Order: sequence, then C-alpha cells, then structure tokens
Amino acid sequence: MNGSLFSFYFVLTAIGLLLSVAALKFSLSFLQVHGWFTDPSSNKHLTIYLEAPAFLRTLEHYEATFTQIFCLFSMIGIGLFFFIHLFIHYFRRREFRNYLLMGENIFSLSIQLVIEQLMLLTISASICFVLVVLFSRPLMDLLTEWEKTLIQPTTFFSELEVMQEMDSPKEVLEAGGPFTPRTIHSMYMYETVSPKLITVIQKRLWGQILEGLFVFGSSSFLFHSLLLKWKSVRMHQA
Amino acid sequence: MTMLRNYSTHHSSRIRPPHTGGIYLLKDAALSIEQTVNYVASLTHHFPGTLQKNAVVVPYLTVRENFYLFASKAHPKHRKIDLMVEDAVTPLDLSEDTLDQSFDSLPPALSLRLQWVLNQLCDRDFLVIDRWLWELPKEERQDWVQLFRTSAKETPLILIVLGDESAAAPFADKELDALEELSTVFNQKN
Repeated sequence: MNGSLFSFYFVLTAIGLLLSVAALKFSLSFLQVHGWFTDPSSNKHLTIYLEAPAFLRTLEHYEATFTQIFCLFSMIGIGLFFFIHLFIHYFRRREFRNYLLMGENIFSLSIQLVIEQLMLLTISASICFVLVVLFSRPLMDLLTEWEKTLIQPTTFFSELEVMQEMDSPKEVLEAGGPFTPRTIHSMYMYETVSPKLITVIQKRLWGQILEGLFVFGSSSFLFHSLLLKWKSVRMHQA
Repeated sequence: MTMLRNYSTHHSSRIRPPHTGGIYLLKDAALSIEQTVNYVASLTHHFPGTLQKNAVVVPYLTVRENFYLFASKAHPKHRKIDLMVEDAVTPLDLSEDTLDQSFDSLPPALSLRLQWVLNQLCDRDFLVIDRWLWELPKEERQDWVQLFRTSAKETPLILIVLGDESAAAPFADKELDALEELSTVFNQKN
C-alpha cells in the first residue's frame, strides 16, 4: 500500500460518510419523525400524539437508537469495503508488478486498479440492491424481527407488546377490574395509537436505511465512472 | 505488493542507446530484476525488456493479444500489426491453441522463447535476463548464449544478465559487481 492509495481511501471514506449522513438527514421518514418533535402543529397527524407525551418520548428514544445503528452500519460497511479492496489487491499483486515493470506510473496505476475494483463492487452492490427491492417484503419482515430483538430493552416495544397482549381496558373495566392509573393510561394509549401505525413507522425507518444505501451506491457509481474518464492509464512504453 | 524505488530523480542526463550491442553480467546476488529494470529505465528513459520465468505481460490476455498489444505500443504508426505479429510468430511453428493460451499456462521454455520474440518485435535496445539462465542444463544454456551473442553482434541490443558471484560467463563482454557500474559502461560506449 502506498500513500496515494491511502489518501484515495481517505477521501472516499469521507465522501461515503457525508453521503450517508446526508441520506439520513434528508430522507423523508427522518424529516417526518423529526418534525413531530420540533414542530408538532405542522403535522396534521400530531393531534393524536400531542395527547400522549409518554409515547413521544419512547419514539424519541427509538430514533436515537436507530441513528446509532445506522452510523454503526455505515462504519462497518466502509471498513468491509476497505478490507475487500485489500483482499483484491493481494490477489492482483503480480499483475501490479508486471505493469510496473512495463513502465507504468505507480500513481495512475493505483488509481486505475482501485477504480476497477470500485466499479466491480458498486455494480455487484447495485445488483444486490435490485434483488433486495424485488424481494423486499419478506426481507422487511425479517429486518423487523431483528430490529425487535435489537431494540428490545427500550420501553417502546415492551409497551407495545403489553398493549397488544392486554385486553381492551374498556373490557377490563366493564368486567369490574381495578380502576388504576395504569389501566387509565393503557386505555388512553389503546384508544389513541394503533399498533398498525407503529409498524408502519418502523418499516419506514428501515426503508430509510435502504434509501440511504441506494443514494450512496448510485452516487458513488457516477463518481467512479467520471473518475475513470479523467484518469485513463496509458502504457508509456510496452 | 512490491515497492519500487524511482531512480529517475537522481539522473537527469539521458543516455542514448549505444550503436553496438553487448552482454554484461551483474554479479550482485542481492540484486532483483525490479531494481535492475528501474535503474536502466532511469538511465535511458526507456523501460527495458525482460526475460524471466514469470513473463511481464498482461496476465488476463492471451499470447496473441499480448503480442498485438506490445507491438501496437512499440509501433504506433504501423498499420498492419496483425501481419507483423504473424511474421514474428511463424518461425516458431506454434499451433493456434498455443497462441490462444495465456503466458502462465505455457511451459517455461516456450514462454521464454515467446518473450524473446516479443522483445525483438518491439525493437528493444536493452534486455534484462533473470537468473533462470544458470538453472538450465549446459546444452540449453549454450543455445541461449549463442542466440545472445549473435544478437549482440548483429544488432545494437544490450543484454544485462543477472547472476551471482559463482556465475562464470566467458560470453559476457564485461562482468560488473554493482548496478551503478552500468552507468559508467554506457557512458563509455557513447
């Protein structure tokens, strides 16, 4: 590995992070969820949530956890990307040596090989993305399952499950059950927020991750194809 | 990945290829072919050809494609590269299958033979020969040496043979102990 290759990866990592953060910040679902916290009156659905601050707080917590997971995914993705490149470089080292002995410029050669590999990886990632889009429904269900186990300790899903498991508070009260603050609260929640809506939000947030990946993938593809045009390696002497 | 030093910054004056050929033996055992190639390139501003077991070609191209590539790079204005390649390869009497294989899949002797033809096709002035020469049986080595001597006499080709302290080469015009001695030899020849 030489300096030029490292600086190339550094720039690439920076661009990748910027793009993923931009994808996170400007994606529709983020703006929507964020809008509920910052400007409640702007959202017409908010009349439901205004009356349930406890639920909002859990949603906020959920969003924070989601952002953490998103950043973790980005970092792991970039790390993996880097190691795949090293791996391919290791297998192409003889080819690299041959080009150098033919009189190739080391900098343009590095760029050329890196770009070739990037194109290959981006194309394969794009194919994976298309496949994911085609078979997204079962995958979404799977992701939702994983997400449930990942964010289990937060109150959001435990409350949700309690709500789903519990009989309707009306029925409890009608059957002569205790009229406690908990019963009132759960009745309140049960009547206002439907679990279906929560699942929709959940799925939207996962859609956001895929959206971000798509933005990153397609823009990096464009970026690399542009670079390839600018930096075409010439064999100075065969 | 091998890191090569760039010598070109140390030598600003360009050395033109001499008018007469010659064979030089480098007796430094620690010298690698990469170092030698880079040093000669820094002296002459041209990358020399090589003759070694791992052929310096584009690995994913076939023998024929490599011939086309190298010939078209060496003679950019030549219009009939295919005929040129055909003429160069015909004396070897190779089958079509052999030409469609990669250099790696050929037997070492044939690969070296093809590299020699390829270098002649490209009109190289300098050729670096790796240490495979000393591993050959005596008769085969004699054949190669005969070929080298004829080329060095008839053409301005300079052959740089890598060896070690024990290498005895009566065929060599001069035996050199260090790489840097090459520059003085080239200067004298000019």
